[in-house]
Amino acid sequence: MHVIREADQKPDFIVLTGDGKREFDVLRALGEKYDGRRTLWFPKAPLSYLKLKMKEKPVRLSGQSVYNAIRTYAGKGYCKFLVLYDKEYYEDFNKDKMYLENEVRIQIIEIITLIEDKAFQLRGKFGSRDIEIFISIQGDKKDINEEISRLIRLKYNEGIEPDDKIIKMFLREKGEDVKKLIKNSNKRHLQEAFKGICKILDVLHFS
Amino acid sequence: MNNCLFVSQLNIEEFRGIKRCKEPIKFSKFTVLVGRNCSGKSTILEALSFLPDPDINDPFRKTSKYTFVKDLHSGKPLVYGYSGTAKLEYLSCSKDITRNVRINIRDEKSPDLFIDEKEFGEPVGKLAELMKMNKEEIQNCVFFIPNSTDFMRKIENLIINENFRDKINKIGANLSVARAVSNCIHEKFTEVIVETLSVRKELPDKVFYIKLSDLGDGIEKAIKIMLILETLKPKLVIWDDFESSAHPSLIEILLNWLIKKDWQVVISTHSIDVLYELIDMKDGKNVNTEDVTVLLLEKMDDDVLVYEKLSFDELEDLIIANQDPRIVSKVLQLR
Repeated sequence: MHVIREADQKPDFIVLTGDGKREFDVLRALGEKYDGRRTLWFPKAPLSYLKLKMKEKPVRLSGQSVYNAIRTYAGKGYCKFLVLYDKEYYEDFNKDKMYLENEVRIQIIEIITLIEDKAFQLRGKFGSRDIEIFISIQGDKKDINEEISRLIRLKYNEGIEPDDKIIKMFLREKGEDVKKLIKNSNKRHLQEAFKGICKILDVLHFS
Repeated sequence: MNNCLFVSQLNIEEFRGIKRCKEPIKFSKFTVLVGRNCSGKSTILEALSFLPDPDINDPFRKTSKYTFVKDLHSGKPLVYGYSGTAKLEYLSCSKDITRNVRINIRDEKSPDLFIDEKEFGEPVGKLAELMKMNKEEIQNCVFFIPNSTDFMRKIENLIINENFRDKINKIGANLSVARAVSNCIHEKFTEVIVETLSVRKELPDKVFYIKLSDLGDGIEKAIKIMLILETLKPKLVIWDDFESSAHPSLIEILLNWLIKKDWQVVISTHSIDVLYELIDMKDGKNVNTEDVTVLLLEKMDDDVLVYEKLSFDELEDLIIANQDPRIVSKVLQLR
């Protein structure tokens, strides 16, 4: 599974996230564990706009705001998406469903819950176009750092705070970074740590 | 401002690096061109700079607009592949009258101007009459800011010209520009002293006069350009590599200043900060989002220019979803 920032050929899926900065590295490293049949295009901004703004003043985000980009891309002919967003913005998938229907104007035909409150597959129509969206909710309470921290516990048997700086410091002591940590972990640990993303990558791999 | 845009459309054939446009380029009141290097941004801006007539001189240039652009490229022919004829076609509007303007460029002679399909070889006064402007307006109606240090030296000569600096002082641009740039630096400038090209800087207990050339490049450039634009009041401002030497706070000041004026603006940028600041302008800054568009440019293998237009809302949606609009254009062409 190729996860790329710049594409010269039509990608299979477009990846959308909110304010996270780790998602690209995690997804790319996980993607390398699968074969290269599919291309996930993640035109990630160098600095998350939302992160920048939140440094200036607290911004209350709606998790669903990330879905608005679907409208933009679908209007230009792209119809397959992988959406990653943090648990802290997630309440209940019914809210996401309503947002997609009422705000993004997707006529939902089918929703498959791959993992309860964690991973979903959605099929529908945007105008006359078929649309498919995979949604992965990161973290147990907050964000993807909880999943990275879980992988560290599984691999090193050490519990560390799911905090960006603490994770970075711990991995530096081990001579690793998040990419290397994932690369050097076995698939069972990865599936246990990154439940949502791995489940979706499995579905994409076998479809 | 009149409801019509000074330039609403441009079609390019065989000009500089562009063989042709897949479809005419459409402009809004505030248009931002985004694209990788050699995607055609500067070419579009240079084509626009020829309006309303490539043969007329700008106030501070001793040469025509056409020669000015040619000189930016070391005098090399501006025609695609260095031979043949370049065709530039515009829809240009003044005082609610829209005209088809065409410029043909063959390197061995000066460009031919056609207005509403008729060749126009009249003096500038006649053109002014036709465009319903006075002679001074027609000469100042388009202001092109290339990314060139030589250009910055040239505009200095305009600013210190006695007549021009009187105009600057008369309209108070020396004060308003000083105040505007003070908002983005930790210094209090109260006035630009045009006669000596310096700024008056106030400290709690004293006053300094600092030469513009001793300020940072970004501020120096911003002050000079703002003084000139405030004074000339062009109908179309064209700015290549808008962000060059500018900190995001200066970008914010310049964007807000440009967007609130009565003119049409076309800028090019490589900077994500420019796009982020655009999004921020939505909040309480009296900006009509329908006036703002971003054109994502891409040049195909056969040198055909294609572009994708993003509305303000689409730009915002992409940025909120952590997408980098600067790199999505290629993929949008692959659909």
